[in-house]
Amino acid sequence: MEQVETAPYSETRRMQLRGLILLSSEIISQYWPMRTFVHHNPLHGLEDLHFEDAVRRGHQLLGGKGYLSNELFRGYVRSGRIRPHHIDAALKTLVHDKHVALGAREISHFEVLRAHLLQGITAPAEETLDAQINRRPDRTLIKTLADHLTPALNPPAIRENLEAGVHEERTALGRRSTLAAWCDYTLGSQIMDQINGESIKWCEAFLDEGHATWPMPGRENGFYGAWKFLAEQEWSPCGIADSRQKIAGLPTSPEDALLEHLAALGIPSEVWQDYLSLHLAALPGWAGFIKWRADQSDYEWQQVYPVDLVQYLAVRVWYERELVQKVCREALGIDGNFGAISADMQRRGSPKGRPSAHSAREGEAHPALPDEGATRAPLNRYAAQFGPRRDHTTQLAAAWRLRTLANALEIAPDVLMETAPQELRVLLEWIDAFSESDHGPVWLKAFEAGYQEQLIGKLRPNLSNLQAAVKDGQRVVRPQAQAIFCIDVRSESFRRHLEAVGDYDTFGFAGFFTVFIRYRALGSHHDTDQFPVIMKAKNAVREVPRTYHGQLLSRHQAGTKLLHAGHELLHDLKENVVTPYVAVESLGWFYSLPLIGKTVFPDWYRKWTVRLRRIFVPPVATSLTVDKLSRDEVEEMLAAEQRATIRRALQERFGDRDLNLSLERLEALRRRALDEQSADQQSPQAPSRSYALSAGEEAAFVEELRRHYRINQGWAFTRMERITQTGFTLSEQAFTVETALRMMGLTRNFARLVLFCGHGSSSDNNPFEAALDCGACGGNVGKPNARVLAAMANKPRVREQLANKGLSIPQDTYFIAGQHDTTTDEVQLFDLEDLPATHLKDLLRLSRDLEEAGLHNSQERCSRFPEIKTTLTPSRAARETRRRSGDWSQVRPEWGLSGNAAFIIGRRDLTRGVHLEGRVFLHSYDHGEDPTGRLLEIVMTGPQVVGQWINMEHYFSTVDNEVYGSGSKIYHNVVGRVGIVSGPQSDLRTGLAWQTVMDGPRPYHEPMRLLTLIEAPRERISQVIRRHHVLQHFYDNEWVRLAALDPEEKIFYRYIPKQGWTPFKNGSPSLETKMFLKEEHSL
Amino acid sequence: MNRLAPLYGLSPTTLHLVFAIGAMTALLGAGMMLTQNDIKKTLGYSTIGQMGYMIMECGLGAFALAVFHLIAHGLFKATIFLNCGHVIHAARQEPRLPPKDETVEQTDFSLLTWLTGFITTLILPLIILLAAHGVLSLPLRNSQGVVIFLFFSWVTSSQAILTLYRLRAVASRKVAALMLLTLLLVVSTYLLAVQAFTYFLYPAPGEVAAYFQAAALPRWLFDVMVGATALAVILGWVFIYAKGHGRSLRMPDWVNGVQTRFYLFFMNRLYVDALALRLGRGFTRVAHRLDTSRLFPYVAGLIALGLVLPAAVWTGELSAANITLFFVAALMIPLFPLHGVYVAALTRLPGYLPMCLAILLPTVGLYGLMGLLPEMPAEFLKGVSVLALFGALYGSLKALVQFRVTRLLAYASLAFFSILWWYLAVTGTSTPQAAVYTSAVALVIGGLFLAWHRVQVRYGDLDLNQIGGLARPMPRFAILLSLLVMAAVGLPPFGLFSGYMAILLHPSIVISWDLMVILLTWLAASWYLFRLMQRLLFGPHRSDIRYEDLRPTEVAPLLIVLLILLALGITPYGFFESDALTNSYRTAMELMLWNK
Repeated sequence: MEQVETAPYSETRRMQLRGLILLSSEIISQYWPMRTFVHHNPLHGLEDLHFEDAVRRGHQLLGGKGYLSNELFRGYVRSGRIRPHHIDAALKTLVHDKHVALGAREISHFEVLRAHLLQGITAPAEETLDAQINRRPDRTLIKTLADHLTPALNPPAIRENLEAGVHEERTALGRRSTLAAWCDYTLGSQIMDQINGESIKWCEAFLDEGHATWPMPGRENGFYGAWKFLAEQEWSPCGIADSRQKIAGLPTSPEDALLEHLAALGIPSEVWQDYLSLHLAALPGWAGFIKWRADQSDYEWQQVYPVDLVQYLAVRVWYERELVQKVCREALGIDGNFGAISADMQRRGSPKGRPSAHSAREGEAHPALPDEGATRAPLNRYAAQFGPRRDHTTQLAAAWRLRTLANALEIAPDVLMETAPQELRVLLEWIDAFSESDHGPVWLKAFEAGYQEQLIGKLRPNLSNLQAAVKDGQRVVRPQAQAIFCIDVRSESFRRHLEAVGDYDTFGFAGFFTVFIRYRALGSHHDTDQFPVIMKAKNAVREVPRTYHGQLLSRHQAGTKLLHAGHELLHDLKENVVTPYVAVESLGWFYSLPLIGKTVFPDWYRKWTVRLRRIFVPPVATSLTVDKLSRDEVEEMLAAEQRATIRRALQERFGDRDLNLSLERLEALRRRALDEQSADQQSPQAPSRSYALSAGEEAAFVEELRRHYRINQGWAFTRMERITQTGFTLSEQAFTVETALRMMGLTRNFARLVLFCGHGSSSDNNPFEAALDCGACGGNVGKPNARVLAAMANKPRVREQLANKGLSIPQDTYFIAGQHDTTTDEVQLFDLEDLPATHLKDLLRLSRDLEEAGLHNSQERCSRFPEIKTTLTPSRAARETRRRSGDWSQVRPEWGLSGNAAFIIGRRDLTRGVHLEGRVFLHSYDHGEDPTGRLLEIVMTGPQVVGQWINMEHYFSTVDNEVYGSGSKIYHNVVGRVGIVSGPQSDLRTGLAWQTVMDGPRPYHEPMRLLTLIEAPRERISQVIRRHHVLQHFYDNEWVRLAALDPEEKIFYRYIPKQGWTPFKNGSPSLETKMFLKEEHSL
Repeated sequence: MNRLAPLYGLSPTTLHLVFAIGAMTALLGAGMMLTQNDIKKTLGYSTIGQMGYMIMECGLGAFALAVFHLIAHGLFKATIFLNCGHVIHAARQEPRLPPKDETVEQTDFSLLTWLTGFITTLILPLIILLAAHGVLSLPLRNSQGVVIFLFFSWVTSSQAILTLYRLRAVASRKVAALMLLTLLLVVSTYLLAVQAFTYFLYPAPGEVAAYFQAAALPRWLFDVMVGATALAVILGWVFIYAKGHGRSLRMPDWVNGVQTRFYLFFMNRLYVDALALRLGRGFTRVAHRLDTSRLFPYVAGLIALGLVLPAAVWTGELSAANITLFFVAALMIPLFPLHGVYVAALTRLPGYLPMCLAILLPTVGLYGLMGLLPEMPAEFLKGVSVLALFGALYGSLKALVQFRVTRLLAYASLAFFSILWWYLAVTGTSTPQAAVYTSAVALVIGGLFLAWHRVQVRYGDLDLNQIGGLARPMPRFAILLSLLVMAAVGLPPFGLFSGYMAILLHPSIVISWDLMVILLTWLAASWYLFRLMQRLLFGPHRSDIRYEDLRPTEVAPLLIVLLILLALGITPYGFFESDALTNSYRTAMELMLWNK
């Protein structure tokens, strides 16, 4: 056993290590807890690379595919979803102007690539080739063709091949595979499984946020400390000898420990970054969650139980160090470190394990582990197969491909036999140079081009409307009402239906309505952050009951308390060693009610539980604390409250005595309780009446006030702080309203009613429920934000200030708040108590129309659910969506944001009346209102970024649901109240579920990069791009496709990366092709 | 267990053992449940605990109560399990905060509050429970069982009150009284329900009481147990109550140390998983080493020879023709060490031949043996049975390490037919049971060979680690293969199961170590055959292979094989037999079959 190095490392080295880990963690992206599901790009850290490079890197490290399979794309071609001319255009970038003469025909490079793309001219896997050829009717032809090809094909000699293999494996070691992975691959051990298993075990235990009743002890020492403390006492489950002594000997600082491990493994310092990336990428979910936690310095769990990636790696690499050492000693008799393994490879002179580990099947970054012992035999057989057999296979494979190519190009097979082998070889080289794994980017471009063409085509007819609107300047007729919805793709169809049922103007705006609040609902004990996760909170808002609900309120509170007590009671009885048994025996039968009710009579059951709940906990009307109180006001408020408490306390304690409950007396007591130092001096100054309390009693009472009734300085200070953070000042309010209205372009022609409509969802038994809520509100419902904004905009004093700034809102315009339930399409309106009586009729009309629009929207949405084959009537559709929202077995309560493909920033006139299929984010923006481009900048760097996150989350979850998505919901298992794993133990699954993006085996979500279309002068857009790196990354690295509609010329332009603008042409495919040719030059 | 209650009632020792096992399981299950961090493992271990409690109830003689618990728990756990996704909803509604070290120093220690707390949370429920029990005329009164149940109910109700106290939900005395009344109500309805249920299941008077009597523990042990648990409960109460009042009791370090150890023990789930995994790995490693070492077959052959040499003496009593016949049969029905020909035939021959031979050879061989067996001397047969047992182990071991499918199947059939040899040698006759078993094995192996042949035709001769994930691209194949594997591992209703049953239940088979070997062979078969299926159907999927599912013409023969196996499995035994067996045996057989 090697002596553990005890010399501590210098602080500089630790700093360097931390910086290195920061770099190596780029490959994994942060993961927010599932309570507020945040759609994120799983390759977010790589956005400074080009999209295709990032996909490649993701494939290398995480093993995820970056594009749909070629088979699926070919299916799209067959179904007409991808049009031939788009394929041609996308291929143009790769084509050389070369030809090969096959008989009478000249075959161009382009034709070969196209045939390869469309037909997949790849021979079957080497092992299956013989069997496959024997099943073909034209097997003799292929075999003759193979013989014909012999002179042209000279595969590299075996020795060279072996040497290349060794070389490749040696360079890959440390960069593309860890020592543990190498051992697994070549020695048939299962170290990676063991390391992952242990890492998951400790992560689950440490990162648990209140699930386990018996939590991990020692967590306050941080992840590494807690692990060290516990693992020191553990019998090593993976069989490391003397593990307890070894762990006890580790340094206390995780940095030192990690440095020590790396030194023991002998990893050269120049590959550390790659090496640690590999380790982080092994469990991207847990590592991503830790990465998020480490950034949240004010997160309660992080404050108490700190964790970061250094600590995680320090634990992880320790297991690798010990296990690699153990396995290498046992199997090879060498030390388990980089140098020894590399030297061993060199000495043996042949790559071990499966043949050509990294060359033959580059498609597998995480190769399936071969069975133990199964490793050696294939090696022997492989050696035997080398030589003639291998050459033969190469020839057969070549013949197969040529035969397929000839079929695809409709060339008679005899022509092949007549052509010189060298010519045929050129064809084969062309095919080889464009391997099937390179097809993805081409397909994607063609796929996107089709959608873009379709979208632009749909919008074109509306260009004339645009002209009219600009000329008029101001419309004379006021619309029936105006409604502002979230930019969410689900709002698009709802808006369309609402506009269809009445004369409504609708707007799209990020669902948090620029109201940055930490919100606390009535009866809740925690805040939610109601803003996009990329921003910070400014103000707090609380929901408080309205004043007129005395009796009802107390019933409400009592009911809530009772329910809470019931839940806690059940929990305590279940989570115990002794009590669950009798509890189950006596209460178990009652569970037959929900079990049968939810399964057999779901509607009925839900209705009755809601009704029962309403009886127990009657709902009360509430309002929000929008206004900020001044400090004096708060102090006065607090004092009154405390005096009341003291009065109550006095009566409780000494109720039988003749008490002096005068204000002065209470105030004196209050001051005494608050002013803890001068308590003794104050008492003599008190009024001289007898109070029925002796001095001793009084001192004890004051003490009790401080302790028990929380009348003390600290508590008062906290309350003060909290209250003064609550609400907005008048100027803040005016600013918020102005920003919101100007950004959405609603600055004149206000209707009598203006609806701010947030959105939320309702589903049962669905861990992904937050993913269906408003992403702009940080995965929460948008109700509070809408209510706050409406309340602000209704304030006369706010409107006064706005008028001063040139934004005059008519006297009779009234703002109301609402929330669209995206699952059931019902819209709920709030704070109607404040509505002036003059607006009642408008309100009635609005709510009726909202209801009707909801019905139609449900109908449209139902047609997209795979299991509904017929077109439902609106009312039946509404019943169906309601049923889905309460069905505890429903894996797909709604499609959510699936299908999203474009982001349009512009006036509604551009999109009004166009059926966009619920695939487009719509952000209202009037370029005329924004001469400086400031508002556009906000839209492009705020909502658009969120849109890109959502888009990329869906994209990657669809193209590789196992790696980037979270697999089927059937196996999901909620862990630690923060996320889900698959089955009993797995990595934290961070993406979207299979059922969210896939419809059976086919993707429902069409994975394509977001197309942002901005209606604004091109120069203004370019300026904004120049100012922001994130936007440059988006457009120049092709994470987002950008297009612009020039408001003057009425021409659509597309943005060519790093180059500039070029007009979209409408019309024939040939023109389109030219357009793509331009793109070729730019690349 | 409930159906066998009268049987258990006769053996107090068994009941005590059952009680101990149940109680241990309940405690360990609950302990592991507490340390799990995800919902499904939590529920899984909680179920283990509950099952343990039911077993414990049986051990106390409360068989009816166990059934009552089973139903209640079924409803309870099913609801929670199905509603697992709700956890995130709950976490959104009420995110938990890390437990804070609230060291609110509360100096005043009033004996009165403690006493009140003690009485309301511990004594009152006890009194209520005792009173409720007194009212009822359960047969479990006056038995020890009642004390145990009382103990559990007592702790439960105390915990309930403690929780309500912690939440300060019981603010006034009125509410507290109401709570206690409710408790009384719940307890009495519960007990009433139990009583009704007990009478419903065991209407015979005195029967239940007899079980309780049988389950009674020795007096001193019982007293010690009661005393210890009561002490533990009171200590635990003091601790929790104090904690609830913001007072942290200083725990000696060793207590914390023990606690940590227990935590690790439970978190690692008693280290059972790790142990099983390591044992499995170690075993396969040894098996591989044996398999790859060149000496192994010779050593095995020598051992076998040593085993049968004494028996070989008796071959003198056989005629040369019989000996030849025997050897031919041993080649056709593989018998160690003569299995080589059979294995070679199955693995080396091309096309459909292996499949045909797998079906034909054994059946013909058995036919040849039928006449021969009665003429064999008993001592010789003894030797053969030892050889067969050895061959069963050898075949299993070899099958376990094969990655060539044909070899795996060939060695599997060696193991299967070794069981047949053993049976023939032990009984000395060839019964219809042997025929059923032989044809079932032959069909199963033939079917598997056929299925594999269809894969071979498509993708070439691949190793197990070269192909996998066929379930998705080849659904028809997947279903047929899994059914065949089910049949092969001896699951009902296929023929092999009834074959096994017929063999194992034969009257002349006595319990011995031989049976152990047979069972091991059976278990090993399910191990490697399931692994075969799992690798083929659900293993890593290769995207560079073009998959193609079975065509109807390929499905048909496999389906026929399965149907014959099914028919073999469900045909009553009377159909096969002449009149060799006694009537009573036949009824026993049929009962056994139909009850499975």
